[in-house]
Amino acid sequence: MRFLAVDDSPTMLRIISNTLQRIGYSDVVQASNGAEALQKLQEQPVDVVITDWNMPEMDGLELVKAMRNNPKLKDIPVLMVTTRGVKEDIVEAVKAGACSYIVKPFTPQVLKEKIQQITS
Amino acid sequence: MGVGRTAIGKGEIMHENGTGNPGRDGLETLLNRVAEVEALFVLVRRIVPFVEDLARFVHDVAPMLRKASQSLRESSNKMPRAAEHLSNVTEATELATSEVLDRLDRILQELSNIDTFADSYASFRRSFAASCRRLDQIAESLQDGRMLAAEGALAISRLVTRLQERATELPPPATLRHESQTIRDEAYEIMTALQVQDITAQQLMAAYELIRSVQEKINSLLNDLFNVDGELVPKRKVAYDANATFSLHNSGARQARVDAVLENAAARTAPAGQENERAETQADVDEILRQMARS
Repeated sequence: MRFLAVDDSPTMLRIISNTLQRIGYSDVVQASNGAEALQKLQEQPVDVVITDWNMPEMDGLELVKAMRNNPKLKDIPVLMVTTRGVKEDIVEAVKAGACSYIVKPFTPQVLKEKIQQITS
Repeated sequence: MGVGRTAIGKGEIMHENGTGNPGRDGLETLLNRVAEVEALFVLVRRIVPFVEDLARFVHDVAPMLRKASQSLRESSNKMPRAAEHLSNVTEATELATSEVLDRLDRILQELSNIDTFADSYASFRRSFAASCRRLDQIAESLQDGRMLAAEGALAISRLVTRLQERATELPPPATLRHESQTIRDEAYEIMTALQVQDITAQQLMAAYELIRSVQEKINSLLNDLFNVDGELVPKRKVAYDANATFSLHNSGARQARVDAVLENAAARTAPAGQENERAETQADVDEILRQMARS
């Protein structure tokens, strides 16, 4: 299963990639914002997108919306991983098309559960 | 004029000039007064432009002062928030550092256990090498007839028993695997704690933006008042969540609250990409929003 991790923080990209490896997923592609993620999605098949919300150029919410409006990408599950934890944000993300939502800081266990949920 | 004439009374003129000619004295006084009034008018004519300039200055400066006052008030209000963000950074860094240090303590403890295992293994290797040498000697003795078969068998049996005893002193592979797994788990926990970098970076960006906006206001103020341009703090092209918080111990509770909202939404949300169910999903999500607004 190939993952696309999207975050403007290089530290978070490393943490997400390493955590995915720990829970058994070693195929991880990285992007530093929504625009770069869309480009990567056009270049190669991806099974799950894990994205941050606050990013320059194109944020996570815009990325989800763009994916849902693209016939080729609309079925890829998206997991939002962000510091934003208020109800309105969660609902907005779900409304935009995010399949699940994790608040930072997260544990490997939570990431594993959410991935299993959205890919089952 | 009637009043003026009355004011120039006979007694007064006599007293002032003492010419003894009241008509002439009165006229002189009158002319003097007219000259004084004329001088006053000249003075007023000269002063009026200054007064007008002063009025214009006050008129121009008043909005600047109002703006200055507003800018200073806004700037003053922003500084405590910037200070709060910086304080949050300190707190988050302290929490994460403490977490990392705890994990490192455990890793160091596990590593000293592994060192003990390594000592046992080195000791076993020494015994094993000595036993191998002794076996070679026994084999040679049996071959050249210096040792009887029964003696050789007994010696070998003793060596095997000794090696078996030493082997029991070694930790079983499962214990070693457990130790290494514990170290791996602790290392991953450290990685989890290092998410603090992302969170504090966002808090610092929030403080940076507040300080930048205060500096922008002060610069604009200096420019208005003294026509001075100061160097601006550059605007950085980054996105951040000003309310980002770091708490590893509360992350479970925070995630549980998120899950509760997600469950509510999931119960009403159809799988993504099913166009015919999209409108219903949208309506359902809107209903959740309305429920939230009511609660």
